[in-house]
Amino acid sequence: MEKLKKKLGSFSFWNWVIASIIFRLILIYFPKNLNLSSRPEVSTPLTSFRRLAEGYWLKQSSMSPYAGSMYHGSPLLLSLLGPLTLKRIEGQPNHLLYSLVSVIADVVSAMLIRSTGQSLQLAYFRSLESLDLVKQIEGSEVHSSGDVAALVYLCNPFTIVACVGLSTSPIENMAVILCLYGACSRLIPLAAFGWVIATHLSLYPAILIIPVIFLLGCGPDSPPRKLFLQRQQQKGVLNQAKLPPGFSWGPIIHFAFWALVWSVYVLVLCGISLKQFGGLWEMFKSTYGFILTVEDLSPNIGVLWYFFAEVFEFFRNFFLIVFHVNILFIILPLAIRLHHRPCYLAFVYVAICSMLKSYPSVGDSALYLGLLGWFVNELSDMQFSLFLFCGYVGVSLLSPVMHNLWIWRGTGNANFYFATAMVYACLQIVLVVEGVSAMLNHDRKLRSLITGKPQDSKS
Amino acid sequence: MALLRRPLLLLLLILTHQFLHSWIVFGSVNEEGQKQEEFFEELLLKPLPDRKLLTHFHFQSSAPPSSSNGRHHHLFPKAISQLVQKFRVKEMELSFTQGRWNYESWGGFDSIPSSNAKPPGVELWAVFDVPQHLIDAMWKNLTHTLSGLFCASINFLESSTAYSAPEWSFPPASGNLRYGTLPREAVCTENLTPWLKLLPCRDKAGISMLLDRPSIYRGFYHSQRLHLTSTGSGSEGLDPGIILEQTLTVVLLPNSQRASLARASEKHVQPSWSLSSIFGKEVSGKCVLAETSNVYLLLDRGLVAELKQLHKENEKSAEKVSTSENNWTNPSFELSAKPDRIFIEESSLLSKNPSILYKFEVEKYSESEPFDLGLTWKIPVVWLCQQAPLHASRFLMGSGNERGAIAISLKSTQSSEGFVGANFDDERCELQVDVFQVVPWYVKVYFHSLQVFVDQQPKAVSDIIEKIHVSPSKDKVSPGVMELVLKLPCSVTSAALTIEFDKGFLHIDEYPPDANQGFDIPSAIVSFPNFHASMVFLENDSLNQSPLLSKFQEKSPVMSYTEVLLVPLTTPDFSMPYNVITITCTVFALYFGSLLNALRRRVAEEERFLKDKAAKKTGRLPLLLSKLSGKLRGRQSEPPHSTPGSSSLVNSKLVFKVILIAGLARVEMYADQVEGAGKRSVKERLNVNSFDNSIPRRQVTGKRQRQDEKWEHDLYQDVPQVSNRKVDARDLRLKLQKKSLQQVSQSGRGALSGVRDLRDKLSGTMNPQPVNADPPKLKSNAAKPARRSVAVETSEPEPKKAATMTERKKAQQKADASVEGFLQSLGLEKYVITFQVEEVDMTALVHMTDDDLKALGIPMGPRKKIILALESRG
Repeated sequence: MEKLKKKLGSFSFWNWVIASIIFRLILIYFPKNLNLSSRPEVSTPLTSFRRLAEGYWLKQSSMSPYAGSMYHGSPLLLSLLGPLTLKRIEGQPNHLLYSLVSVIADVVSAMLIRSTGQSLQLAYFRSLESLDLVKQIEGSEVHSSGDVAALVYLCNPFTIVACVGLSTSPIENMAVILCLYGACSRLIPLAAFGWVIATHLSLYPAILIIPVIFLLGCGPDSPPRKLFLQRQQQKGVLNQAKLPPGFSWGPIIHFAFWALVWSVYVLVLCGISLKQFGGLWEMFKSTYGFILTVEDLSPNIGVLWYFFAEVFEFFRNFFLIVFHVNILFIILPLAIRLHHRPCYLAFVYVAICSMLKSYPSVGDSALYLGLLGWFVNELSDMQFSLFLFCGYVGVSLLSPVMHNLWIWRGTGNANFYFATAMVYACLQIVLVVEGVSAMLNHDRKLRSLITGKPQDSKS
Repeated sequence: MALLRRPLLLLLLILTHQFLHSWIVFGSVNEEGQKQEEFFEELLLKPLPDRKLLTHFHFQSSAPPSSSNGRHHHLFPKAISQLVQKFRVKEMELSFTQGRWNYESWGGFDSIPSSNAKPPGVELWAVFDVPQHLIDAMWKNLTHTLSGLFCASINFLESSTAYSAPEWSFPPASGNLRYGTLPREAVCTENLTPWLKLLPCRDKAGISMLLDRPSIYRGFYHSQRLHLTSTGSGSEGLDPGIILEQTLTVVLLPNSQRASLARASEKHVQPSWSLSSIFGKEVSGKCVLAETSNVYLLLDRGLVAELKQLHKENEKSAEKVSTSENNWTNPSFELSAKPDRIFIEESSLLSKNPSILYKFEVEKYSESEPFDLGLTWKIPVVWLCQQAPLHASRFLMGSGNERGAIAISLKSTQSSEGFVGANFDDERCELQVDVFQVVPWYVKVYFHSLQVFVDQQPKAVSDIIEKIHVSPSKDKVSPGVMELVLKLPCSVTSAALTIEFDKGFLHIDEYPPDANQGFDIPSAIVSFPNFHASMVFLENDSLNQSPLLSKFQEKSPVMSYTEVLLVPLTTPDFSMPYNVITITCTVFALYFGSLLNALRRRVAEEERFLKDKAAKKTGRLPLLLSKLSGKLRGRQSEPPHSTPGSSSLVNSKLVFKVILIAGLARVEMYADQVEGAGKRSVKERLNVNSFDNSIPRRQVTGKRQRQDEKWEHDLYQDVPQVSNRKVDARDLRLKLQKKSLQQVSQSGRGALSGVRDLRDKLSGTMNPQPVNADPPKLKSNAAKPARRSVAVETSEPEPKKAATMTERKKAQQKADASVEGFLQSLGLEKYVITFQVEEVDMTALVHMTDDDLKALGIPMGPRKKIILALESRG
């Protein structure tokens, strides 16, 4: 993966961007979008285009879009994207307008990732400078992590498939990235808006509030204060001015205020659009309720569908709780260990959510793989990167084959497909664990550089 | 006295008889003003174009509204009237059908197919006379009642996923309607018998005598239907009047052996039949309770037209209708019975080809002269039944188990007469078609994907579909319902509706046992509200006497059911739940554990540890030990200081710890033993007290006791150290031997025991034998003694044999005194097990009272026996 990134980085950034856009457009012009929109990897019950169209149709025929269990998305998405499911331009592919929206969303996300990455790198260098470590770093090759991340996001086959497959995940991803961008560049209303929209669309980004608070409170990259103290004790001088600013509550209160404003705004809009139907309660029940109770058992790349198709009914609630708590329980330890790198914390949260969420799709994987690009420099020592790369390629080739064997040919059975989902989950676990330990090692290296044990830096 | 009483009784009998008779007469005649409970039985026979015969039994019983609450019914089935009263059913129809009505060859326009052609399986609909919120509860209760009444799984219609509430496309449209089908329900005689029980004569008399089960179920199609309408429940205190209509429609292929023999060359000749040839039975008179009992033979319009044509061609004396004795002949066919009446259909529109109805009254026949209608064709005829304007069929599209599409195709039947029925001006001639489709929830229909094709051309949905009502399916809650009104141009030759769906994935519990067979989508109903099937036979006086004919007269919309579709769904692996649970949980544990581990790892310390380890290359053992000790302390310890002494220190520490733990265990065991011994002592005391120092047949059930013995054994084993290989190999056996030895030693020969034990220990295998000789006598556990006895025999030394013989004798005596022997002597061997379970030995038995034995579950007789025997012994 690293090699790929390096290769990408050496080309001109904009050429790659244009190439990826053109590639998308070519795919869009294929008949029926290559049937990507009905792939289980792309369209989950939450992101499916056909369900969106069904919801819009129901709403147009003056029924609640949540009547029946077809649509589980946001009513706002219905009002914004719904008309595009029907609009057709003569002589053009059926869903051209909708696909163009997805492409634009992807490009905007990539640009936001790029600028966030740049500001992140800037902050990183600044903190190195403040620790007088710049000259140690200078020796090694430094990539522009913003460019790399943007290109990884744009050229990732997962992103392309999710975009061409007409799922709504490009929009959801854009909201998440908007939130992080706003927090990094200290545009608090934007960050709050991104966070509220992302939470509204898919619930799981709600836990991003922790990295966002750290981002706003301490800035994108703040080495622990302890390091400074150690450093200055070594020098024997206590320069108060050079200490990084501590945790500041001002922006967070600001953020809370804006988050409240935006969520009230969003709820009011939803309430208006659902006024003649079931109202907000119905919306919560069939969006968040649907996410949390894993009602739909159709296969996807996660592991929960098969588990809940097989598990005994009286254990169902117990396991629902256990699996959701798995996400919640790891929040605190991660926040403690990675609080000085909020963007990395955000990446880990996004990765964990996309691994454990009830209806994962490749669009979610595309997001965290893109964010991973921010940390090319820090994670250059990561173990198993080749293994992970091969694993991702292998799973994305095997999973459709197994699906075909099971569903279409009837020669395989569900276990085959479930096995690939299992492998995929394990790969993601390895990625997260190795990523976290590589980042911790990197921090350790920095600390040892500061505390002046040059012999340790190599190990 | 007796003589006196008899005439009195006789008198009384006569009197009551008189009274009863008059009462019965009164009951049957009733007051002039009030209506009667009535019963009609009728049978319609109709030849079908494809050499088959339609037989349609029609029974109608009616109960007028009455004021009394718990009234008595003369004719009307009480079960039905109770059901109507309880569930406030306004109208209800239940049908059991096997086979599919062949609309193309059996016709789709008459009132018979449009009201009697039903979808396969069970169909139930009901209209209730209750407020909206109570309807579902009423429906649920109704399904349960009906399922009990008709021995069918109608109760499956109870769940909300199985029924729906059509708004307007189902003909008796009203808001209080519930509709449900069970396409896969198998219909058999079990369902017919309760249906017949509702008839006053059952199948013992009248037309229903013809209902011969094998010939009915041999048919190509049979549909047994029950329709009830309740009227006049408006006024208070008045029970509703109910009309119960029971029909049985059977399509049979007459057994035409004779006909084919006679005219083998003629292919088109219709088979001749008679009632006795198709049902194997004849009608011997009517059911006495029936008002009318008629058999009709219907020649439909197409057939009549064809016959007329033939007559014209033949140019013979066409109207030569001869009636010789019993036969009635026509140029084209011959009837074996003379019709009592001939009706000709009165219809202004179709006056050229009216259908003809022959009426036969069963009343005139009796047991001596049974009614057996037969029809013999003289000339071959080919005709077509009248079709519905469009022929509807339905099929699935797509392959694979992920998604598909349902297509309903409507093809014009080109029946010119069909369109005459609808009076449209030619300018904007439109054909209205109602479609009612229910899909189960696991077929997830995308209603936005509805497409309409007219004459193979895709049309805008809004042009063709005038009205649409959809209630989308909710997962595991309700089925999807689609009601459409299509306006098709009259010139249409074909139209098609397609709608896409995704196949759902179910939980493993939701699959039926034969999951791979697939799931059924119930029939769609296609109706033509502008076309009415009605036949009017203008015979004013007799019409009100015949419910069948008045049924014909009713204007019912033409309706047809489409095929049931079989949708295969993907199945998960049913054998996997445990594997899936464990594997998934393992993955989650892997995630959680490894992530936490990565977070809490302190690399610096580990590095230092490793470095130190590398620095001193001591042997493997100290390293291992240090690791072990580190683990024992529960945290990463600092590496041992490099002297070799430290390792020995650790070693000594370890040894100390092991010893400490062993000591603790020892103390605990000792405590256990003491406790166990205390427990045992009571029993042993009892043993001593008993007249016989028999070996207590103590079954080793307590785990603790076994532990004790094991411990003892181990300890003894340790002390002598002389145990050779042989003993080791037979360790288990030895253990068992020792166990019995202990028992003996504890049970009275106490003084010797200590000495003996020691001796045993020292002499290894030799000494246990004398004691060991009796275990084979213990029958209490079957398997072990056998093995043990083998062991004994192999190791039994020669000189000891005499001694063992005496021991055995003794044991025999003891056995006599044992519970088993005691019970055997009383002939109560079967209770031995009861006593064994309760661990009652002879000692205890002696002290048992009547109540104790009762508590054991010994019946009275044996109990008394035992007590008596014990008393006599004592």
